[in-house]
Amino acid sequence: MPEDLIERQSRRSVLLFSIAAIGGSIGVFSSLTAAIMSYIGGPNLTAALKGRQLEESKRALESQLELIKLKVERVNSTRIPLAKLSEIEEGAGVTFTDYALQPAVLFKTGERSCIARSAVCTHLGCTVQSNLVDGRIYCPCHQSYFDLAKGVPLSGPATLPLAQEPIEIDGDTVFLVKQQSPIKIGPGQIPMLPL
Amino acid sequence: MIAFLEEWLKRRLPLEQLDFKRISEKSVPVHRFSWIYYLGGVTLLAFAVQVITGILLLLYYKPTTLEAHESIQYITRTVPGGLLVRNMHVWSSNAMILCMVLHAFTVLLSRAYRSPRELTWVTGMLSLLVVLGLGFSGYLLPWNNLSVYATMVGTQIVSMSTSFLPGEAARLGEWAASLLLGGQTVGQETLTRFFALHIVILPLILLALVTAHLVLIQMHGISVPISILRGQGEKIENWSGKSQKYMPRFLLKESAVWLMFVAAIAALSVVVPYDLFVPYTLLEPYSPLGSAPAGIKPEWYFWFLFYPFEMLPRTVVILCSLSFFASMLAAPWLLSGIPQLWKARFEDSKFPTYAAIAVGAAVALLTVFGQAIVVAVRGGA
Repeated sequence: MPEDLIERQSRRSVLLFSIAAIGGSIGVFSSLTAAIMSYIGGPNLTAALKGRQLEESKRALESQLELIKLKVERVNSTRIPLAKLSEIEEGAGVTFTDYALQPAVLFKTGERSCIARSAVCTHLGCTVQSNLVDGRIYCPCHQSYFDLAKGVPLSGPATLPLAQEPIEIDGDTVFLVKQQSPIKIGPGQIPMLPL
Repeated sequence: MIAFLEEWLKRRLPLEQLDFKRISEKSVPVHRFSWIYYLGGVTLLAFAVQVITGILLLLYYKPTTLEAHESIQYITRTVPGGLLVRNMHVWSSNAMILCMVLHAFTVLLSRAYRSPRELTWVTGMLSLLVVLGLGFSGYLLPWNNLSVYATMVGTQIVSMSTSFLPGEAARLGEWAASLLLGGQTVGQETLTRFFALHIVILPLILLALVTAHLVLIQMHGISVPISILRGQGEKIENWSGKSQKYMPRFLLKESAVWLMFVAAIAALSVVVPYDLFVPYTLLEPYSPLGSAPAGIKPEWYFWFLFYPFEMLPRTVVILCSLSFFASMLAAPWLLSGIPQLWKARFEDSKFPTYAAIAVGAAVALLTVFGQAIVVAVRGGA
């Protein structure tokens, strides 16, 4: 390259740049290094903090135990009590886990009638909400709405209906009933419960 | 044929140019768009910040469904400096993707992808895809409602991505999804696999791609925007304007930019923790028995794909996205080839510029106004 085309830097500009860069670097990197060193050293755990950590571990293990109990129940029983009819409010569904270990939701439709639907959205597999929105089932992930009575999509990107779950009402209790044939999972649905 | 291939490769991989002693002689062109030369360097620095903060997070993070969420809470609330380290990782990942996208866009506009630099473009685009993969796999690791549901939707999309193909090939996506999930569900196996992808597999691939990218830049030298070259009037193959030495002048300026970047990321991390932008219900530990809370969304850099899923049939969106990514990879050949259809010279044709602006505008519009577009198209819901 011809010499006259190479941009020359003045000594003063190099010096000013260097001072700013070195000063700034020292400031930023010394404070970052101090933070990182104390991070690597870890916290001084007080008794209260340690207690809180153990509480958290206990809570996590308990929820895991709940999950295992739920699976055992689904393997061993032919019907599972879901809710007391008198305690369900219209519009506010009760979530439960069906025999395929999928989330599902139970809605009250009249004085002595209920309907249960799979809660796995047929669009991309999110769990639909348990509270009805204007009398419709709503999936918050991509704004799909489903008809409560028929399960068919009313608006939004979903095209397939939400499956109905078999239930029976015995006295004041609503039961989920085990089907003889295994529940078929529709196309584009991923079972959700970690096994 | 072989001679042709040899010539083609020789022009694109001039290995004899790879003399590291020449770094001291390397020069950077000076013109009114010189600032675009900083974007790639900032992306590289952000990658370095990701590696360092990522290693630090590994000191305390526990990749199990029982402990993942709690270990992140422990890092940000209990470990001194943990808030800084975790938020630097998150903020810098966002900055990295933003800089990378801007870098790609300026390369498109300045036509720096043109022969013989096609492979530099391809390695860059592949890096962008790997970085998006890093963003996607990293999103699951905190194991909260947002991350698990977003992963469910993401893997579901992968599972359906080949459903338009005939016969058994249609199941390719399902196979890929089950490979990612490690089973039928988003569970411990998925977390283990995403963890491995996020901390080992994808970073190694990215490192290889970035190395190739840098070696190619070293071999070909720095490109000058075609509009600037055209302004020279004469031959537009070579730059005859001003240049500055890479060492020390450009490197010094670049260090100043890097320093400002690190300082800005550190300040943001402490003052504006990233979680402030996310509703609390989405950050609660994931419970397989609960329903999806409102507001499940991927990270902003997937919004240009996310909003179309709300508006159009999913097969259409999947087909469009696949052809979008394919044409982005093939952009150097497409953009230089298409003007020849109407006998225009690539250098004079306005088509590559308009195409770049159209793609950039579409992605930016969907990202920024996606929500409003969905409401307008569907009439509210």
